[in-house]
Amino acid sequence: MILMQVNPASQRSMGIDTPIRCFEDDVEKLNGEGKILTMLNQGDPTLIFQTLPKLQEELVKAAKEKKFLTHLLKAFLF
Amino acid sequence: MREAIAKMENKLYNLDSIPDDIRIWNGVSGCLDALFFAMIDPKRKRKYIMVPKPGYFLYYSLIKAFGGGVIPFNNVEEDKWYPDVDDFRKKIKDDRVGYAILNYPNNPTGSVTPRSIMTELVDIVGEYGKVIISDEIYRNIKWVRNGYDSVSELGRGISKVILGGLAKEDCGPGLKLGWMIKIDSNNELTEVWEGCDNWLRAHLGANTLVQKAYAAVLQDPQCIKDHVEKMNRELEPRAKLVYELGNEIGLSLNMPEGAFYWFPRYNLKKKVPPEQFCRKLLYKEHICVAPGEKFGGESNFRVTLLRPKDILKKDLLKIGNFISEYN
Repeated sequence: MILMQVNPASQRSMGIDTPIRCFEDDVEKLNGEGKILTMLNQGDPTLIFQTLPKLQEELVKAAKEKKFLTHLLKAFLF
Repeated sequence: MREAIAKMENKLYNLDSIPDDIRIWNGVSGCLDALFFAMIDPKRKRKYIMVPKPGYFLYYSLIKAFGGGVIPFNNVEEDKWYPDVDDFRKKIKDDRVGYAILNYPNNPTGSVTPRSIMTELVDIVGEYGKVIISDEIYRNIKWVRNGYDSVSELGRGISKVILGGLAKEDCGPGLKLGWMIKIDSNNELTEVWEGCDNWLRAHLGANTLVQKAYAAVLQDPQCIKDHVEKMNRELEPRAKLVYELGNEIGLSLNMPEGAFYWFPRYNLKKKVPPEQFCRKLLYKEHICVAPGEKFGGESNFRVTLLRPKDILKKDLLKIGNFISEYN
């Protein structure tokens, strides 16, 4: 399942500094040089497990009932 | 969705919350936006907020961005990163303080505070007539028994806002669904709640689809429980590995107990700031960790338990070599 990690726009516009942001340029540079990086900094639990399976099912159901995003969900999420 | 959360919380913690005590927004971080906007009203006297140190960087950044003041209270490294009760008591006496944030299981330390300590903190907040903000996004991600799951269970009669969401326990970080529950025992939160509503009304684009789906999921709480237990079973051996191996290779760390983080101290002969240490580690060993000063730490960095054991082991050994060469 692909999920986008986004910060609310309000935080970005306030210029919130994050522990990760200070390395963004360095990570990009090393990636550009083809270095394989291990990211041990990320707090994204989908690195271990998929999103709660029942939540995925219910998301599809909700999308169908709402008659929107169905194709998007099918194409990108499941 | 609000009805489903109220029903769940009332059943778990014997509360009498109604849907109007609950607000849904774009993740816990989004809820913090609304809360700090409402709490740090320039017209209000008490616009200082106590925050754990080390603690989640966003508390520090957001409170300052909204014009408030941060008063950190210490989590003690030598005591499994548990909060320093004396320090907490000393600082909450400050008349400028209106609120205290509690965040256990803790980001970034992975510490899970025992019931006895948490009860003391909650009682102190009540004694001085302040309000608790309890960020419980990692509520059930823990592999130690600490005697309570939520601050909702403690300090009846004390006003609180409890924060939760599906990003961590349900592994839905990009879905941006969080909630805040008002437990307004002393009728102190009416204005804050109005301020939150003003913030929420000003921001368009409700996450309707995810709310609809999660409300249905909450009808089957066992599926969430099973999912989190499975996660904890996977995380605990990783915590043991990093604790045992980490302490052998030039790091000092407490056993991570929850929230899938660990916050080791690197031991070097000369003092090196964490950002400098972490940048060198990134360039030399290609390992990216988060520098500790951003969380209020000293010679620390934050690492997750989210990579498989073999990768954690390999990278720990590399970090050990890096420290040896640094010395």
